[in-house]
Amino acid sequence: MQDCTSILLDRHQLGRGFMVRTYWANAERICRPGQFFLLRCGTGWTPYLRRSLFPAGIEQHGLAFWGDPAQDAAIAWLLAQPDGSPLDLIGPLGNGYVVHPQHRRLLLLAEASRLAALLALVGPHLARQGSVGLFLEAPTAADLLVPAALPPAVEYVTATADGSAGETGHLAEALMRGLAWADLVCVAGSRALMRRLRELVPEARMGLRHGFVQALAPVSLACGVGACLSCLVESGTRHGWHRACLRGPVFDLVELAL
Amino acid sequence: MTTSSSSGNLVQASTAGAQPVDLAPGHKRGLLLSNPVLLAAGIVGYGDAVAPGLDLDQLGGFVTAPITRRAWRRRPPQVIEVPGGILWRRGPWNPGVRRVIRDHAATWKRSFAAVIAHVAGDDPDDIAAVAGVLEDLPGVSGLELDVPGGPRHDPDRAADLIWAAREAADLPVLARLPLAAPDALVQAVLSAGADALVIAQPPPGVSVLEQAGERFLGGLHGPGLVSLVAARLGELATWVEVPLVACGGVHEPAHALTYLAAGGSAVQVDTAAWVDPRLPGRVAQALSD
Repeated sequence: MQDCTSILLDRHQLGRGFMVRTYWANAERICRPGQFFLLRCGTGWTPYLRRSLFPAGIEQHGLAFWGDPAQDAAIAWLLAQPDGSPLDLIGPLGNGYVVHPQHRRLLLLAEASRLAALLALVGPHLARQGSVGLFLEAPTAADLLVPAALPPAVEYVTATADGSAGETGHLAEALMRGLAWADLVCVAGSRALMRRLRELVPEARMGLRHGFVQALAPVSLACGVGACLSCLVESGTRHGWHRACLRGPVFDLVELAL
Repeated sequence: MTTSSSSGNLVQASTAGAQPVDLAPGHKRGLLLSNPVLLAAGIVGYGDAVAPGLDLDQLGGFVTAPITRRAWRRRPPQVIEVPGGILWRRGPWNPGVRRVIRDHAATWKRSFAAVIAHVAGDDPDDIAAVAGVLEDLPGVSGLELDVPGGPRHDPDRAADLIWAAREAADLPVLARLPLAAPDALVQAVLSAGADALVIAQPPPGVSVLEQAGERFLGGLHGPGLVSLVAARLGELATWVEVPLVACGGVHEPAHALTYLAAGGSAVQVDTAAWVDPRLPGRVAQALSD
């Protein structure tokens, strides 16, 4: 973990959101998907806190952050800065997703607002000749990631609350098939999504075993270093409470009390 | 510069020219800091939650997160942003004194910065129990207690809490007062033997959460507090004889200079250190120039 003056390289539109690329020395070596960075938006005190950002892409010497400026204040602030601007970033923080070589079939499940944290898993897994299925839920079709933004090898399954694209409501049958197919699930979404997944996995897999689902804890990260305790998550086992910014924010789903 | 702290640790003051300060000149142990910059209660947890770029060795000390006699886990802490700062509803959430010591005593023993344990509780017996356990712990240089305030403040009860800590532990006691503490409350705390006063606890603030429509009550942190704290500090400095420690509002070195000019002997930097981890070091440097 380090604090560093990063540099904003460029940005381009991707679906409703924008992908913002920044320089970060040796990013590929030191950063894992699911870890986060804290961005200070300006030098003043409005907004007061740093914003947490999850890399959507990790390159040899660069990080890419994706988000919708209408929903994400950090992305909105980044987009207002010219290319070449210095950025005050701290990170990488916490513990991210862990994909081992034996994991061949990777299922990514997200709600659109939390998708960014999963996108950085796609490229490296495909490069290892693995298979990726991306299952995405959103309020409406406009909130979905455009299929062209994904490599063709990615199986892309969607559901929208208003039925404007994919399944209507929540992912159900397709997700059950996906859970039966996958040997690792990485999820990022709300507490409700985590609860639903906890019910579905035992049906699809004859039980929820440790190590099968890695979940990004649905908490806000305020100080990011374990002091404010606003990211406490209760353990589903006997281990009490954990600071998600230190112990997580990615946990085994078995370990989360939801 | 190397000097000996009250706990017996060697305090390495890496801020050239920083002036040591004793926050408990009336106590036989004293509470000697290598420089007058501390971190407020809980800003680095128990010394285990330090943002990259924040160098504790540059500072005079830090105040731990709250420590109670038994584990206190009733309502998880929360932070929300408000105009000009944040509301932090922290409460005394902690695993209890035994667990805190088990997990953090080794860190405190190694700390170059003085460690001041923030003892929390409403009952003098609980305060005494925690203070007694902390007394002989290597690395703990002093205790800080929050003095209950608000409309139902009770000088006698406040004095009982301070007295309980003084009786149970031979450590300097810092009393952190509510910003609006009346003089009668201050006098009671001083009479009970507080070695220094910390001005002030984060004042309570309220915001209505948009989505839930709930009232959110938490301690207010932000640069707007500087003028309030400085004003109260100036009032107390006219008649209080123990050292005064300014707490809250420091978001740039000039704020700390304002506090010292108003009569403070030391300053506690609080949540600004999360956002700008190098700020406390810059404050220490500014106070040494």
